[in-house]
Amino acid sequence: MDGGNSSEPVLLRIEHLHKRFGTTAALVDASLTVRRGERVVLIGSSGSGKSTLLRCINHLEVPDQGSIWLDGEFMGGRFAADGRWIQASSGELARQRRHIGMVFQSFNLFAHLSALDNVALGPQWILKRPKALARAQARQLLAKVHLAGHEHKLPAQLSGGQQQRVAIARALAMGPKLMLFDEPTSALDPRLTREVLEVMLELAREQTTMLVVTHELGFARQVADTVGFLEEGRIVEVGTPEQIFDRPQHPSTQAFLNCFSPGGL
Amino acid sequence: MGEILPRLLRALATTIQISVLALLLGTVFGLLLGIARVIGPRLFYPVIDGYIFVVRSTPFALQVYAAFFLLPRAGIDLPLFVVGVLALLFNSVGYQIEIVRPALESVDKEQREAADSLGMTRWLAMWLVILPQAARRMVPPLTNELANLVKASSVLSVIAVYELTRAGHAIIASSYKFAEVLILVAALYFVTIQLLSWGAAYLERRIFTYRSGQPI
Repeated sequence: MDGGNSSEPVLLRIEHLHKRFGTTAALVDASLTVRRGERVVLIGSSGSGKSTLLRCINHLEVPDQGSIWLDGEFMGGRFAADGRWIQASSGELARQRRHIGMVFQSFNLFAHLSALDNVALGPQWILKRPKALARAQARQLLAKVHLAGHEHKLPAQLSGGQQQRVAIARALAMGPKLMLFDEPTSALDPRLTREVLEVMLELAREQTTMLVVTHELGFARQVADTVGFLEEGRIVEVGTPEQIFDRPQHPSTQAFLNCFSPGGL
Repeated sequence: MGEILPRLLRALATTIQISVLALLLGTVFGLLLGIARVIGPRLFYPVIDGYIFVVRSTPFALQVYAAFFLLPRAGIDLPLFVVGVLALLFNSVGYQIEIVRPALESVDKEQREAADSLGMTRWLAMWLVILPQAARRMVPPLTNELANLVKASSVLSVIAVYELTRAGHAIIASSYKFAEVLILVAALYFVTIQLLSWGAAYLERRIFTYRSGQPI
């Protein structure tokens, strides 16, 4: 995997993001940039704010402070000519979210729709593509995630790994500029995890811009251009996989990675 | 007996017409207001809540009297049948909103988030994702509501709508066959409600089972 895409323009810029849940600081002054085609993996303990960071990007959680630009556009609102902040309407926010695909830990497929309809729904109703076209494209996407022949099945009739691959196809169907993966394999056993990671690996090879939260460090090392380590809502260290995994600088990163070393227990 | 049953059956037809009309119209308004109560402008919430409060905390008989006496005073003169349907409708919508709202809210938050993340507007997510999943959960309480409506429609006898209970009264008044008529009227209500319940259960199985390969 080539990591030399630093000449690519910045696609996502996150600056000084803060988010609190009650008295808990979920994100503290988090800043991060993702370039077009870049694969960024976020690691850290549960509760370190990785998922919150991801969910703030498409405003499933509304950040308390800080700014997020996607492709030069401010997420969640805009500044008026006189400098006033104008909150995006739900319609504007919906339009902005179309550019960001999201894959959830618990898949979240639409329970009442077949795999094919799950994938075709967005293009047909949101992008207003003709139904036949949306379904043909959905078929191709399902084939791409190795699910040809499963088009008619309901989510409940699919394994977790299959459901997650449908979810990936559903997100891809919208043609997003950025794909967010929120612990996509945490609910899966090792074999199903492998199926899903293989699909993500293929996406990475196609230069899909990806921001991935995961505990799969092997995947992170293999795929990531950049790895970020979070602790207690702060991004404490960012670097290449070699820097983070082989020469971690921050004591917290070192302690976290030690838990994964073979002699750790 | 020979002439009693046909008279009661004709009145039963009125009872069923009124109840089914109130249920169907009530479902339309119940859905609209229930959805508005969940994703509509917040301005509406106190209005809808106030309406539900009024319906739930006043006796149905009083609502019927109100329709009977107040509508003409407002210059609205309607046939008794229509007044009866309107009174029943006014009452039923209050309860049906409270059937729709919890059913919508019972759909997993994750389904809504998935719809949001794709870029659906609130209304599109409601139409494509939330409502289809919530609809199944509305059928059992709606069946219950239909049974309630059939029974509540007997109150319309106080404003002389010629439904089953009113017909029973009239026959007793002219024939003094209390026991026979009361038992017959009760049996007709019982059979009607059972048949409607079975029909609804059948409908639930037929329509609201997720089938794979179903087109959008």
